[in-house]
Amino acid sequence: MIKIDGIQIKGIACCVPPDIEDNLNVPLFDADKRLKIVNTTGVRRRRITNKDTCTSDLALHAAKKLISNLEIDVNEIGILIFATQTPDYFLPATSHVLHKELGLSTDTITFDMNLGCSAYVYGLYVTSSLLQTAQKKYALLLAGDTISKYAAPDDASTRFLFGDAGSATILESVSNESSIMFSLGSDGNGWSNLIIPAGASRTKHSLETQKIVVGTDGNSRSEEHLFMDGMEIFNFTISTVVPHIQKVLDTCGMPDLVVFHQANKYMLEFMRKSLGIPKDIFLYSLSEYGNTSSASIPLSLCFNKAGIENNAKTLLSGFGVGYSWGTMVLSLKGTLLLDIFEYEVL
Amino acid sequence: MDKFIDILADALEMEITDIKANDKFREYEEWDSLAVLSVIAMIKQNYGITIPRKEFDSLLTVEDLYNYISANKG
Repeated sequence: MIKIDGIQIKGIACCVPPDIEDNLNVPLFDADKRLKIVNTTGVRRRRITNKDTCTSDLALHAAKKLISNLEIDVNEIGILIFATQTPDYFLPATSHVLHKELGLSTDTITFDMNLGCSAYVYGLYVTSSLLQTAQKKYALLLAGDTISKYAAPDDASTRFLFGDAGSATILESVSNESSIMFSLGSDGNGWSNLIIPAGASRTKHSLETQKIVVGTDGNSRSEEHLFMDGMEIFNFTISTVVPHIQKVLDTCGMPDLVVFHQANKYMLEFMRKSLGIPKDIFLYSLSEYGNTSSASIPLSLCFNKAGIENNAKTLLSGFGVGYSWGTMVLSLKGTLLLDIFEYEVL
Repeated sequence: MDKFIDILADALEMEITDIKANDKFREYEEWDSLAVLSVIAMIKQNYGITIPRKEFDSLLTVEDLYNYISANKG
């Protein structure tokens, strides 16, 4: 595992859109089938952005609220990373839009990271690493996604799962002995199993790529919608992610709290039981927010803030699209977790 | 085979008597994306293996599934 010293998470804030889609009211299947889906996936409700709200709007609100609550001088922020798969533009990087909106100084290192399920852990690793050698005191990691914009309305494999959210995390360079342990990995063999096939450079947007067709799994979508091969994702989780997390547990011991990327309840419970993780330390936010991709781990922390004790040894693990996976063990000592709040147009 | 049908029925929430060796399992009313997860978990827990998508797609009947698992289990 990789050890990073002298970095502490100072605070986390999460912003969600106000519109709620209740899975029991989704106009697909009958009521019994919808209830079965809710019970199996663990997702009762999801937050959905309207056409005018992007991931960056949610992340910007979270960042502003966190900076204000922590009373941080933005000139002391030396790094801004925006981890998302739903940016505002092909170019420039959305982090530069956010850099401007937050009024950060021109000597700030600023870039986007294109990762989803593993983005928060990867983002914290990269941000921590850079902050160790930076000349400034703070780094800002913004992680979020608005996958609902890319889920086909009639695709049951994605519509019932994905919600939208944005998060902001501030890391601080500290002189005490606190350390964070990381373990990260990738397997490009799974790149096509969770994908939006068209709309970027390989297959550009066209009338053809917009056509809705019935896929081999029986769900209707276009090539510009999200496709997920749930079977292969589950196979990857069983074969790769469970042994990866087991190694971390063997090295670091059972933590006080465990937060996994909120994929779906069936898969997470399978993992939890396989790894012998007690139910009472395993945190969820799935029921109210669904799978919010890169925001699901910080969202789960803020959602469960009342039950998180100061100094809790915490394991965070993200895994999925790519394939990409990462697990970290850290202390949340002194970390400010804000209540999840709703986006309002300023 | 009887034991396999027993645990497959449990995974699919079906009656054992409703499952026959030559049934095309994708034609069951209970077969959907959630059932797939359940069957994958069942195979991993009982036989210690996962089945790659390409190979799974070539398995059509309950017996095909049983034969694959028998040939590949650890």
